[in-house]
Amino acid sequence: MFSIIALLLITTGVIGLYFSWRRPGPGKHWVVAVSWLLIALSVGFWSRAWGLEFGIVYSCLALSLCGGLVLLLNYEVRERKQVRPVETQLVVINPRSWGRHITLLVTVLPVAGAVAVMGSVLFASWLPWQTVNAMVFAGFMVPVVWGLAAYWACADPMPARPACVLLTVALPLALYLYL
Amino acid sequence: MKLMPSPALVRQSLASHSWLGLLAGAMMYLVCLSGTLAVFYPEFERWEQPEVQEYRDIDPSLLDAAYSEALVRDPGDTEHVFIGLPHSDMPRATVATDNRGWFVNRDGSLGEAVALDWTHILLHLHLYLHLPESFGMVVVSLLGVLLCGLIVSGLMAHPRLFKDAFSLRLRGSKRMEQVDIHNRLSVWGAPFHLMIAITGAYFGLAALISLAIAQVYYDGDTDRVVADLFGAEPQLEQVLEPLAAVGRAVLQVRELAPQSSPLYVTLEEVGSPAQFMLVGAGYPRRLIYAEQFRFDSAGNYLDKVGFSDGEAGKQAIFSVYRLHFGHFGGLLTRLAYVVLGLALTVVSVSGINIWFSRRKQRDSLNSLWTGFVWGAPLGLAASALFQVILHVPATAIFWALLLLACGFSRLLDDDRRSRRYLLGTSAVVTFALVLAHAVKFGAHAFSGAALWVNIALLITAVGLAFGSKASVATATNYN
Repeated sequence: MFSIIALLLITTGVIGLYFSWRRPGPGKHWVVAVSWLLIALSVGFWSRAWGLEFGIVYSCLALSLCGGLVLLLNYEVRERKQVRPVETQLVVINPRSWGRHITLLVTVLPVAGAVAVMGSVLFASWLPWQTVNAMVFAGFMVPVVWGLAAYWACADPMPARPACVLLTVALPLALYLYL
Repeated sequence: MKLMPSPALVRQSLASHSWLGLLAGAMMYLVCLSGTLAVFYPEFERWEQPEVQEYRDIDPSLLDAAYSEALVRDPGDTEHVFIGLPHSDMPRATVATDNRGWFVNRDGSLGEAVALDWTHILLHLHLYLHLPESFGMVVVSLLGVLLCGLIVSGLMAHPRLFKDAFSLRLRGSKRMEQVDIHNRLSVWGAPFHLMIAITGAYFGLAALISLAIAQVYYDGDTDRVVADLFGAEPQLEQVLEPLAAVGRAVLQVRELAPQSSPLYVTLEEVGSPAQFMLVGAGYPRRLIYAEQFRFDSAGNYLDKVGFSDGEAGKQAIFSVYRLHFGHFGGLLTRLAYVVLGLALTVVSVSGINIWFSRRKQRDSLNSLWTGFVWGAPLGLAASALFQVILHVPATAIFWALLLLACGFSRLLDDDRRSRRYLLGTSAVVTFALVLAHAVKFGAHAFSGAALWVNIALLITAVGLAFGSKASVATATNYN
């Protein structure tokens, strides 16, 4: 019963989002807000039906699937654009960009990784939590922090800047941890 | 005040998204494709050896005989013995030493040797990309990290991501089609993708992270980290009976936690005075894989580790496996994981396709990528045919076919025709796989999990055939 209510709420929420997207008007923001509220409410009903752990996961899965389903029902087939055939060329390797790519690779993998691992573990250790909880939190935090650092490293127009900043952060972290 | 990123930030985020996507691209595709299939790996295991006796419950007293027979059959050194108990998701019992394993018949005697080679090929591709395990695990986990970066950069690079959430324009221009598919699947699948990225990264990075954790808390002693998280080994000095009381331990777990269902028994430190048993028991409506109850060799209860009711961190860490593979909540959850896993696979491919379509020129990389993408399903189907039906070790066959598909596509230099031929061949091989399975295993191919896997394979073969037919050979290459 609670699952059915949750499913109805999430479906209504997604359909509400769809209609606010389809017919934008003066009341659009209200429709969007109510739709998200219904989606948020569904978490409670999923949890009531299946427990909190399953409830949260089911909410995410149901939102993705409902959104995907509405998307599929809304697809638009356009006429294929005629494209002129192009000649296949040999792969051109431009050694001038190698330096940038190597810098990025080093920054994204070992440097950002070192900062993410050491920074997350230290940050978690300062939280007023039980040791086990802090350790596990650090474990889940590392990929997110690492991903963010990797994003910045590649987004900065000056690749050397994130590399230098991350190295500058990594050094004291390493000294603090290992000395 | 509008919370929109500036055009410069969008441009830089897009550059970041492209770079990270290209770094992860091909490997991410293989990991996602194999991971989508791996959701059903217990069913593939049952399909691979369909003749094995299946049952959902076993008299625990019969386990002692099975375990002792396994030790007689494998007199070599072993530090562990693993006993898999039958349950609803895997209605088979197994006994395995460090060297070999057997299925257990309903009467407790040992049956066929465990030979789940193709499922292992699939899982090894997903977990290690067929690289040496310790290195491969780190590489695959780094893909989880890169996926986190891609999700963030993707959100920052596309300020209209939510505004266009329901827009899916197919055909038209190749670039617009791929962009719409990529962005729409990404935005709707984002919560699932993030969850898969974090749990996936955890598996391989745990060892690395534990080095820093050990340094912070225990002066570099990683054993103490493991003990904190997974329970310290009991310190036992026993005079060993010839055999551990496995059945007695399982019976006690049923009394200690009647709501749980015992899934496995592991004997640790086999043959030493410190020998002890872990009985893993699954709990209904919990994401934890199992609570572990520990017993000495005589079957006396020692304690439980606390994955079911200990610190939140312990519960979370033992929930990672089920959360990543979708092994909870039954068939519907797994089907949802397959759909969303397939969506992530499509996102991986369409991301690279967008990069190709943005380039001004076409070169060999275009056709190699086409061969790689459409050669992977062919490689998986052919490896199953060789491994399951002919018992030919098939890891090399998978990679050889993938290379051949790339070479073929390069030679043909026509993306649509390459896709058509590769999809058509995949359809034929998949159909042949089902046919050969039916011929080899007879009635067993049409019962239990084998029947459902064969039906799914037939549907896949039909889908691949339709995909092949839809790829009209126009001999047109475009960027």
